Amino acid sequence: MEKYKETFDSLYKEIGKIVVGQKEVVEQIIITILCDANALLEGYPGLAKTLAIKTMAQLMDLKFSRIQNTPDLMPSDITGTYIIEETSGKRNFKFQPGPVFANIVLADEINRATPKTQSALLEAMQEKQVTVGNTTFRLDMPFFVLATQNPIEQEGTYPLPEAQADRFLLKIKIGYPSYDEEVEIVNKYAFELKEQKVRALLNKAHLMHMQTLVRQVPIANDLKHRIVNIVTETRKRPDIIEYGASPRASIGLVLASKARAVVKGRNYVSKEDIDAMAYPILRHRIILNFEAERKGMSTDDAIKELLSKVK
Amino acid sequence: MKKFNNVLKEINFTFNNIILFSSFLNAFLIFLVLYLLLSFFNFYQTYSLIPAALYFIIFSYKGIRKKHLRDVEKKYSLLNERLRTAADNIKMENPVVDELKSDIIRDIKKVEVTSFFNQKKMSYKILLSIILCFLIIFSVRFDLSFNFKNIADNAIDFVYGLGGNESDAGKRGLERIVGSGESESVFGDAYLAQMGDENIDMIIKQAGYEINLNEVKEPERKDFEELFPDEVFIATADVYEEKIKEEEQELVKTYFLKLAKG
Repeated sequence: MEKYKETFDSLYKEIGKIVVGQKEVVEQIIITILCDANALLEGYPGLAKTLAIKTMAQLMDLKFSRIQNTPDLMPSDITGTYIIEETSGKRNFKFQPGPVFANIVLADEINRATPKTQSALLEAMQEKQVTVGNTTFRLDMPFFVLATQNPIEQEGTYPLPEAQADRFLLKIKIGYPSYDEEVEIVNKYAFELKEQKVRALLNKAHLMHMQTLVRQVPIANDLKHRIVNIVTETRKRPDIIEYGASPRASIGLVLASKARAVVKGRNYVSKEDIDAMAYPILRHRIILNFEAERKGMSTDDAIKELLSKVK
Repeated sequence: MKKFNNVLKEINFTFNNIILFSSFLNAFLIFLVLYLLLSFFNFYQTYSLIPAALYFIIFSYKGIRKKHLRDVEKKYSLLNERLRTAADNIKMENPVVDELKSDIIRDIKKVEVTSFFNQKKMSYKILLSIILCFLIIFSVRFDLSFNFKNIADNAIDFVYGLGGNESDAGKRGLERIVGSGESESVFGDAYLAQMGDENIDMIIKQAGYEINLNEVKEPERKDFEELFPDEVFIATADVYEEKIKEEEQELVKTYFLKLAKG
């Protein structure tokens, strides 16, 4: 496990050349990739969400594509469509793959797309396949969708329904950098025009191997029970939570904790992993009630309270 | 991973031994304290075995049933969560679990059995049990006991002493020791008949119980000078007839007649 830790340390180091700070965000993106899942990144504009994902794709030597979601974006703009191709006087329909045919798909501002377009992306996320007309196309593995959304400017957006948000393993919150980090950002990007290059440290085979490895990480029975207790507790707190998390959250929390253990160079899951991953796993899966919102409670506050109650 | 199985077995075996020893020591202490108290209050000392035995059984059972891996993890943070995880996934075999088990086998060598003993506490307990043993021996040797009856009687005497004179109190004290005519305890207080831990099953049989002592009179003086009572008579001793030959008997008879005449 030590060699994997070394790999991830060099990954952080390399990404640090481009993205200043945001170590936790980078770590959670890696965890999502190791779990063979998808993540929703939420943060204000200008916090290097897109840059972080793009850099990650370069580091992992994966095919990267970006979809800028707008209300007029059609599903075929994502999945691809049949075009008429003329070869030696004959016209044939040829499938032109859309941006979803990549390894890492960045769906920028996903809440700006219409529900129809969102669901086209969600099929790809869930089934790792795309259906156009009568034909289903398998996507290249590994495949991840990293969607971003903006917590402000909600006018004219289509917020993801809970059922669709549930399909994202993690909801990663991106906060503002610290003062020193911001000074470093200014120094890095306000003076030089040259784009920084990063070298690829991993490849598809590595990633697939690590994904297998993550599932093999053992977890103690009492920690498994803790996970289930945390998730079920979200359904037992009508005083603050209106809708709790589904069993998919329990599966996600076990998997994400395992991935975090691998990232940290451990061959077992620790309680610390569970507590750290409970926030990104649960924050988009619980809906606070009016009373909690009136008190100014955030979902993270509610999760913190749950964690302190569960043994 | 047979080696890891052995590690778990060894941990359980060691902890069970520690628990049994600790429970035994505590039960022994309970026994000694209760024995001392019961002997001090003149109660059945053997009863102290019951709570001691109960303690030993309950705490040993509870201790043995408990999972000991957490105790090892508490003492050795190096093994924290790892030992439990590997034990829970003992049947699982993959490179990650195997690596975890190998790491534990390597690190478990740093675990010392003595670290699970609170040596200070254990020494105090042993010292206390020795002191208690000596106290019990002394209390038996010097018959140190707390007699409720004596205290009650002394209190009564004290109360009488306040109301009457000293000689009355003294008399009552004497009556209590030797028993008065009206008292049933004519043989004194029962506790005086106790020796050691056991009551002596003793029956005192009165000698010549068929004689009515009230009818016993002073012996009368009898005068035998005038008349012999009927009961007094002379009989020839068989000895002469048996030992003197028949032909010589006449000769002996004549001799004695002559002697009587002469």
